Amino acid sequence: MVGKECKELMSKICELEFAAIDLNLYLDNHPTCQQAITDYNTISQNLMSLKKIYEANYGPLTNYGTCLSSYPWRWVDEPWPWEIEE
Amino acid sequence: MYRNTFIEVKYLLDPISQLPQMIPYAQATPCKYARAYVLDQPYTCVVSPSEAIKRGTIFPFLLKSYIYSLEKANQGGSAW
Repeated sequence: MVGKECKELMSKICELEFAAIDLNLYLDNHPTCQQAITDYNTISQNLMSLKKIYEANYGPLTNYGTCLSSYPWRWVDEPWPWEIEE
Repeated sequence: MYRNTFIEVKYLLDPISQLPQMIPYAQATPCKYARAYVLDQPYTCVVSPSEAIKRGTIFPFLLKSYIYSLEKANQGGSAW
């Protein structure tokens, strides 16, 4: 069962990831826009810190070497997206 | 010979199977590459990430064309 805090944290991560992607796409075409880079970096820093909090409390978000695991191996220990109740 | 005007793909139909047969560009007829024209997008302001995911973009500028549809959707109607 996934707790309310876990869901809220995941929602926040999704929001920040979406914003980071949108700014990333903008910067691909406007690489010298200082304000966009500043916003992108701010969002990315917030995103990274939220991901760290999430992974420390609820397990890895990604695997294949991009995230450390505690013992026991946690990647298969999380609910799959379809197991999360609304 | 067919030409896709949006993506630079040229192909002949295979005479037997009638399936598209990829051929090198140099062998194709001298068609010009399609060109994409993109309007410059000013960086005026961005909405918050929570608002952006609801709107579908972080840039209010991109929503200018859809304001009427968005208002309709906000009032409970179909956006389209």
